[in-house]
Amino acid sequence: MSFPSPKEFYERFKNDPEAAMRTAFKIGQEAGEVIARSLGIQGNDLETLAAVLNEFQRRVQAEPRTKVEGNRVTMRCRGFCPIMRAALTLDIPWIWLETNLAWPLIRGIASYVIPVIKFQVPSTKSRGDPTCMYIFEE
Amino acid sequence: MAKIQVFQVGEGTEDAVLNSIIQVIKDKYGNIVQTNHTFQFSMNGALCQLGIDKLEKLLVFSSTVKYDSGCELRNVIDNGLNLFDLSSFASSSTRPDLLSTFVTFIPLTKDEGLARSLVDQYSDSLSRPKIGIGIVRGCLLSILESGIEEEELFNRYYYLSPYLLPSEAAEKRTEEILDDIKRLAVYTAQISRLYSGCKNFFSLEPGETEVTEKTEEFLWKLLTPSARERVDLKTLESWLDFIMERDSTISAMAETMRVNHMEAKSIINRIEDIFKKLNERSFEDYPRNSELELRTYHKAIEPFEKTIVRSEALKARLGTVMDEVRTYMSLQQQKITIDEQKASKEQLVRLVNLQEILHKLEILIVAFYITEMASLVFEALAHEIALLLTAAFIPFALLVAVGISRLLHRPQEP
Repeated sequence: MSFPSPKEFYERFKNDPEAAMRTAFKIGQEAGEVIARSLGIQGNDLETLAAVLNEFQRRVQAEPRTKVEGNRVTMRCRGFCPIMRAALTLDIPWIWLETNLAWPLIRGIASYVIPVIKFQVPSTKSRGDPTCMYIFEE
Repeated sequence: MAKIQVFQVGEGTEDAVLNSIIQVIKDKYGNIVQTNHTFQFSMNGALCQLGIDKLEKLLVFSSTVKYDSGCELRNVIDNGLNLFDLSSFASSSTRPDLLSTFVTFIPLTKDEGLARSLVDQYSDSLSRPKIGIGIVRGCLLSILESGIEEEELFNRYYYLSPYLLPSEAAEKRTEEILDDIKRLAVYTAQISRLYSGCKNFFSLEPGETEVTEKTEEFLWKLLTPSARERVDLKTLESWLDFIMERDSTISAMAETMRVNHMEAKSIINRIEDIFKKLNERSFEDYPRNSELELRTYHKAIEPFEKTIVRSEALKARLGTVMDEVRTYMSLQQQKITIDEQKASKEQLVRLVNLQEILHKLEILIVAFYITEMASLVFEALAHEIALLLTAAFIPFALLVAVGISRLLHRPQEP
């Protein structure tokens, strides 16, 4: 499982956000498949989704903080992340990397487990919120 | 009344944004006289003049509105605050980001008492306390406090009354001072731009908490003997991965903050130069504006300093934990190496012993065959005493077997 370098990704897609989102989504789906296989889990329910997303968080050195809450899955990221670092070091707009790389990628991972799922980002550090929060609802 | 607004525009989009704004102004105010980038029009019976300058990725709107002497203070203030409020009339796609707004109220009066009391009236009407009052080139200058909200951080409200000057000199002096205020507005906008670019990185708490909790957990596991036994090399490697990732992010953050802080400080130095040039003198026992205003600028860039200090503290903590993990990891590796060496030494001893046994067995076998052959010879030559001769031959056969073995296992010449 490999993720694109933010610099290369930005240089390639900075003038075409639609293509960026499509590409990131596809990479996310592939990553979702790799993670699910490595965990040896199958299924298209919320528990499987939470397990796959927790493993994804582990692999990107984030805290695994994904859980099933009622009829939805919430994923929280409170610490520093590679997207934040890339935005700082490469002087790429943070919000661009979030909306065109990170979010579609995460949505892609989720869609591998549950192909049709609603995705929301009610809070994000790139807009000054204390944590990033992602909500997945069937 | 004079209003200076400084906007940020995207690279290469200055002309498109400018044309769009000019069109919006024309649509809104109708009968406009345009000379290059200067516009004159009538607004609620007052004469308004607007000049637009392009600076490096910045658009500077400088407008002046002249009111009749009978115009009410409330109208002057409301018009001043709402003038060219682009959020209400430009489309979001072309709307540039507003970085700073400087509104200067310039009542023309010759009476010191009235000029002084007007400061309080403007202050009350705007609900902004004055930070001081001073005399600048024959004008009474008072700066009103900006709000503490983030969006007000880079907006200023000035009061300027040329009450000491004759009418002909008053206009010239006022223009000179307004030029300096315009430069202040541009520099303030530059600081605002640096601030906007970094403000989302100022809230370090969640990241700090995560790093503190994690590193504390690592240390607890390393320093508690019962927990330490369960820490293997793979776990240590995963800890190092975490530490290195966070360390690189925090380093990047500290560097960015340091660069922007340096830039902001150099801009404040230029602002300081303008205040020095204005050479403000004290008025009665009021504090001078320039000193307190400079302090406000320094306060505005404090978040950069705080973030640098906190990032460095976090980095130092990560460095300490990284050293501890590395030390323990190297101890673990050494222990594994020593165990491996010990195991291979024991194996070698066993092999050597086995080889010695084989050698001895080899000697016995060879001696047995030599004795058997000698027995055949003795049977043929001296049948009656063959058994005795064979028994006596055994030590000799052993000696010959040892000799053969040594000959066969003689070390090879290199």
